[in-house]
Amino acid sequence: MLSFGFNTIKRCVKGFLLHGFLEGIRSQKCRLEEAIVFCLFGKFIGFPGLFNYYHLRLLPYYVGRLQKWKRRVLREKDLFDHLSD
Amino acid sequence: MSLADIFDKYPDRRYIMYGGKGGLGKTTFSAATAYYLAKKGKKVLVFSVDPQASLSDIFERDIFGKGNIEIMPNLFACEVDADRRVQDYQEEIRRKIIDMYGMKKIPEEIESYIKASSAEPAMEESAIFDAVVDIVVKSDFDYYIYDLVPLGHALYYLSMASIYDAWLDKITGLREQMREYDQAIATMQREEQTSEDQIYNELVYIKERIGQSSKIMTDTKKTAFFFVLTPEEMTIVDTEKAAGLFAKYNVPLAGYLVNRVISRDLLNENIPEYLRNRIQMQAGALEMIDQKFGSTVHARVPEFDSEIKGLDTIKKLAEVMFEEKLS
Repeated sequence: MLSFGFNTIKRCVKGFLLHGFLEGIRSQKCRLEEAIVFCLFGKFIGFPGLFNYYHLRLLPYYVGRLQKWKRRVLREKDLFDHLSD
Repeated sequence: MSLADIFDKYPDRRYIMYGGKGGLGKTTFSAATAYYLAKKGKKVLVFSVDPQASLSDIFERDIFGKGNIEIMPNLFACEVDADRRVQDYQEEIRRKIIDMYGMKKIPEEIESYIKASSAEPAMEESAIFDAVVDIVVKSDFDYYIYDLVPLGHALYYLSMASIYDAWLDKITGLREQMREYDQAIATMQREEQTSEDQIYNELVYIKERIGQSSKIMTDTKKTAFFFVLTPEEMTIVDTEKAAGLFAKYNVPLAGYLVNRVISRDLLNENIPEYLRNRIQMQAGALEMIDQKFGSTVHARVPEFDSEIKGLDTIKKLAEVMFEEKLS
């Protein structure tokens, strides 16, 4: 019982200290991923990027993410979105 | 130095390439070199990297898209069916998508992207160079002789390869950064990072593959690149320019071979004005070739009175090129 309480407090403190930091890293990672998808498959939104024979090998890994990525990239942003950035 | 001396002096040069403008005799020279080496007891594969290949015509056998076909003892020939290879590759990608996502049908947008890739620049050349890597990696032969695409295509491929390589470095770098973020998250949450980054692995594979195909063309120890030219001023100027460009991409230039030289002895005979003029024009051009390329010209091959087709004429050509009687 004592140990359960201790672990809960530990998790709370850790979450309190690290949550923001982890979110920051996740968001950075997400931006990198977006940059990569843009470089690889910019054509899906009409951006004429570099293409190579081996490019197709990467396509299967992105099929599931392309729709979400397109929605995110093509979504119009308002002032509040920019403020949150 | 004669062509035979070059082959004797540099036995490690196992990738032999003939390049030059279209229609100057690259394919016939490739076939004759393969014939010569095969007669010398070497196991040789001559293959065409040209989508408009004509090895089938020269050997008078339909070898297109049929793999390595034995033409005579020690001599094998191969014409890669680039279209088929691109189609098979696209099919492999479709199958992978279906397997990965358990789909019944490829989404329309993805299908259009796959189909449109056939029309992308250098797709066919890349498919052929990819096939070349497969062939060369197996290392079943003593010599590999490439009947190369016309100069522009080869240069285009090399320049694309170097641009793409730099571009891949950037993407791989971004992906590496992403992995570092993943590791940081896993460490902070005291989790084990078990998932393998397949995209990163693919990027590394692609980089290796492009490196291999470019290396075959630029390996100074194993590759010998010969330019084929004819005694005509325009061809000489173009060849000189191309040689400069190839040097920029570190293609090891082994020398020049002059094709279709009309014998000067004919001037002593009763010949038409047209032929006399051609011989005189060639005399000027040959002088120019000597001035520009000097001792790197390894053979002057005369104009034959018939088309080079079939093993008999290939043998004759090989004997002239290598200045040696063959059994």
